[in-house]
Amino acid sequence: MSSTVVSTQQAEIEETMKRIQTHKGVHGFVVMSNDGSFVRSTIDNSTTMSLTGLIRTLSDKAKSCVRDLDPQNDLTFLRIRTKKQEILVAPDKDYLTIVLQANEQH
Amino acid sequence: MSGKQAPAKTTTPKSTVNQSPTPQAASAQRRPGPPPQSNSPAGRSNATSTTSATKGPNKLNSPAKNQVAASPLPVVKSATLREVSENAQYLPPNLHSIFISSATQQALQLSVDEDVTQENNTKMIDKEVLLKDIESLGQGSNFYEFKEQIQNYPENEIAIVYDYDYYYSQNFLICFDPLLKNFIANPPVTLPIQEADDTEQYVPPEPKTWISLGSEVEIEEERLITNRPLKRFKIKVPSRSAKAAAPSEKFKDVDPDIDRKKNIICIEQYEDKQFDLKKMELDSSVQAAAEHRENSSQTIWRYPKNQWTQYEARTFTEEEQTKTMKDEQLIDMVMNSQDLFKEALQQNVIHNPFYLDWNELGGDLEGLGGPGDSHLREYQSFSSIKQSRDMIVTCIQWHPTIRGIIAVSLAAGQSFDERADNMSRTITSPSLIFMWSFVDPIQPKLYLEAPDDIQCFQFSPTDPHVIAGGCVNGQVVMWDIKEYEDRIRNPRGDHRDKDLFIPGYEDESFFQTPHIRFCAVSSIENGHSEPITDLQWIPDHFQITTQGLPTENLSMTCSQIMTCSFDSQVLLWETRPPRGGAKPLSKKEREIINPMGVPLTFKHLDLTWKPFLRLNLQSPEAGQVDFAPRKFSIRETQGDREALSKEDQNTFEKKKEPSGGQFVNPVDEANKSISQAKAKILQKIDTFFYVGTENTNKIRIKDRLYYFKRSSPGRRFDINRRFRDGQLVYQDWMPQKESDSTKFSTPKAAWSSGVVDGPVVALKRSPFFKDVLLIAGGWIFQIWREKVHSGSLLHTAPLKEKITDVEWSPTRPGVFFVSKQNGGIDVWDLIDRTHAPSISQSISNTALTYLSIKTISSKQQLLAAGDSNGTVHILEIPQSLRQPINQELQVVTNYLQRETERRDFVKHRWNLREEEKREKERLAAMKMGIAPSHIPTQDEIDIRMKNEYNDFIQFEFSVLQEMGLRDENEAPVIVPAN
Repeated sequence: MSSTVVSTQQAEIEETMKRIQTHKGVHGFVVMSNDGSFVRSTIDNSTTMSLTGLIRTLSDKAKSCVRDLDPQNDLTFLRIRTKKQEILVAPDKDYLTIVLQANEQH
Repeated sequence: MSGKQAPAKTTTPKSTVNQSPTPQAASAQRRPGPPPQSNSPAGRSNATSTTSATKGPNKLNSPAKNQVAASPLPVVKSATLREVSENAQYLPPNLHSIFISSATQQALQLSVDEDVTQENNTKMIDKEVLLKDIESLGQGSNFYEFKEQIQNYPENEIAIVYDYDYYYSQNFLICFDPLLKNFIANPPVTLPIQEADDTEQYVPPEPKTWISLGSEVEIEEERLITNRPLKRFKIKVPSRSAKAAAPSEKFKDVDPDIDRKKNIICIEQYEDKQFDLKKMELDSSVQAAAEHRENSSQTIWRYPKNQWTQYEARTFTEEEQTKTMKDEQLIDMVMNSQDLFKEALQQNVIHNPFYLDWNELGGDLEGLGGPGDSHLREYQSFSSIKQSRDMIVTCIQWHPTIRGIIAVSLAAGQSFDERADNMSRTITSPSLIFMWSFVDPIQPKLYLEAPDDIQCFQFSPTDPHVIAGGCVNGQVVMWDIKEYEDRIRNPRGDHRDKDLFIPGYEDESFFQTPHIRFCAVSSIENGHSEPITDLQWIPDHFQITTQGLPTENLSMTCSQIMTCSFDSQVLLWETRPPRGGAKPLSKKEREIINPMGVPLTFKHLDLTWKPFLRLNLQSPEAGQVDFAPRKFSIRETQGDREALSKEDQNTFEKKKEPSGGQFVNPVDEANKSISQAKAKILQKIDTFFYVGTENTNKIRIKDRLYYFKRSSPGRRFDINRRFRDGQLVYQDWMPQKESDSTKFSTPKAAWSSGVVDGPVVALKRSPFFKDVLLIAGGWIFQIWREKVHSGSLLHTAPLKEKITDVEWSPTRPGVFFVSKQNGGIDVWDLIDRTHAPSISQSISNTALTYLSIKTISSKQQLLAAGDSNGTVHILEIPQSLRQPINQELQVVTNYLQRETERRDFVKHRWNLREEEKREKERLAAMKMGIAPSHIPTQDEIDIRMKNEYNDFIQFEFSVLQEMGLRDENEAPVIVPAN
């Protein structure tokens, strides 16, 4: 019973991922665990490696920053706007999702 | 040990020396026994060694031998009587002091200083003689008191000893001991020698078992034992605190001089005669050692290495990934964040079309000065103190490859007559091209010697070590600076770099700037007959044949030079040796031919060099003076490969050797010439070029007005132009067959027109538009477009100052620099305004003569401006004049296009006006009835129609040709006009 639920949910995930990727300019989608290893990635391996390593520390830092400011608070979403692209990070307890969206002007 | 000695020896005469009774200062009592010994000679003799003990009798018995060394010293002479009597106490028994009078001395043959002397002081006298003396003289005899002893003396002779210095109170000593007498007679002379032996031969002492000889008793006796309590004295010293605390203690000042005897006990200083010994000799030694020394040791510097760790990023395996994908938490997370992502992504899409206007404003703010600063900034200036005086800069060229090297040619600013007058001087001091480095603004890196003043020169674009120059005397000069390339390149190789040499071994010639002689000059007869005013290397992608055809250049290096001069000639020169021409020389030959050490690169050209193509610029109208070219401009530029077909471009890039250089010393490498036989003719290359001239045909203003009045309005402009000084000529370099002979000759100029009101000083093509020319001369400059000959796209009102040179900006299509006679530079920006310069700036107080611009890096652009004082000013182009603004190229292209269209329109209007005028005249004539209205005849109609038909055929043919339906070489069939 539960396995079927999981499988349907898994299908939903795939669906969600696809949907996100259909957005304009999206060129990368990474799901990673909080210990730094990625679960799922749509970009090449080496970029994913560096991305996960660096973004994880940044999001940890941001999270601790938010919590230090207000212990009741927590980080839910992180957007890094750069010249070339925007990095969207959604941190969670054990996992982290990263979406890369190209900046249109460049 | 002293106990073992003879009693006579224990008491030495020396022991009497210090016999003055010294006060015994000891508070402790001594034990009964020998007299106090600390100072007593007896004690000392006890303590001394055997040798010193035996010394005693020696001194006594043989004073003659030892007096100098060990006898009582002059101290004794001045001894008091008491002391002498005490000395006598220590005489051994049976030895007595005796006074012998001089009479007795004579009687006994004992005269002092005659029979006995200080040295030889003993005399044996018969007992009988003495007894007789006593008998005869009775109590008056000197020997009377010893009568009994003399009588009792067992032996016959009695020894009398002369006491030279009355040591024992009398002048003689008499001995009554036979043993002692023997001793006196035969003094033991060996002792001192033994003494010497003992000191010399050191025998290390051997430990022996201690035998008691009574010394321990002596030591026991020496010991001090306190037998009464020590006396205590209390001395009060007044102190300030004590004064206050105990005023009862009374101290008062005492005059030391008056009350000395009463109150003060003191032991005064006195000279101790005993220590009057003078130190005559002193053994001393010094160890010489350096105070400090330098030491060095070589340590090995190992390359610093970063510590590194190899790690591997953590990854999930496939299985783990699939497993975690099923993790509910992950699923939740993805589902939850989905909306957040969607929102953010959509926001971005919505916001992206908007951009911050502020960001676009002002462009890049980086760099020095910022966008606001738009003035030229002096970066450096080069001027040679010795050679620059009264010289004008004629040409400036940047080194094509090495950064920070600039070559400058100087020439005397003289008129022709002055030059003729100073001919001898100019010959003796060669004209020079200075090679400056930005590193050293004091001394040039190189001097290039030229046979005469250089008007223009250029580095070979493909072989930067080859320089071609044009002389005032019409010769083309070649230099090869390959040998000195290191010197130029090395920024530290300047004259101040003394560290290179060991002091005393400096190579003076190293610090001096070398003078480099030219490799070759062209033949005087076959070259120009007037000063060469412009020189250019033909770009490397094509070459020109002797027929004037542009063909492929298979060697892909620049080898041809184009020059122009006032003598209405444009010449083309080939630098490569003729095929199979120059044969390599042996080393010996080279030395003979080449005494100056000049590179042989262009030996084959020297003095025999002829141009391979000669263009004579004739005036289009007979009777007019031929053109006198000053500047020329060809369409092709170095590095622009558009004329080549696509595949050729590729092979060109491939073949291009990075080192380049076809100009090798023929000794090093024989004939490297590439056969040019297979070279294809390049159709795309335009053989037409523009020449800027200096018109020597001066027409009086009156005549000009005459022409002007007579001409039609449309022609007026042209007429007016014809009499301008600076003409622009459109010329084909390809020779054409003359109609009346088989000879090939330069065609007449396709078009010419006077455009500027002075000799053309600059004719430059825009680096962005191949067909746009900037021409300057006199007080005006104009912008022309190739093949648009109806007029200039832009012409300025005359400036207040004469223009000396113009230069396009290499990065901004709409910007160019104009240098003026008053030493100022105008910067024109076509985008900003076209009626006046954007910036006008004064650079030098003398006239500027030449401009040359170079892009050093993306952040730096330098403009070199030479003035007529021999100085080169290097100006930094501000960022605003360097960085193209948004879509500048497009804007400038549009502007030029608009102006071109305007020209077309103007031309159209001219034709219209012409037609109108003709019609008007015709009508007027008709009205007047002077001329009948023109009715075209049948012939005229035919001709007109045929012409129209021919035009149509031409047009049709060109259309077909464009479509590729007709061969290029085919000619259209034209119907003859009549």
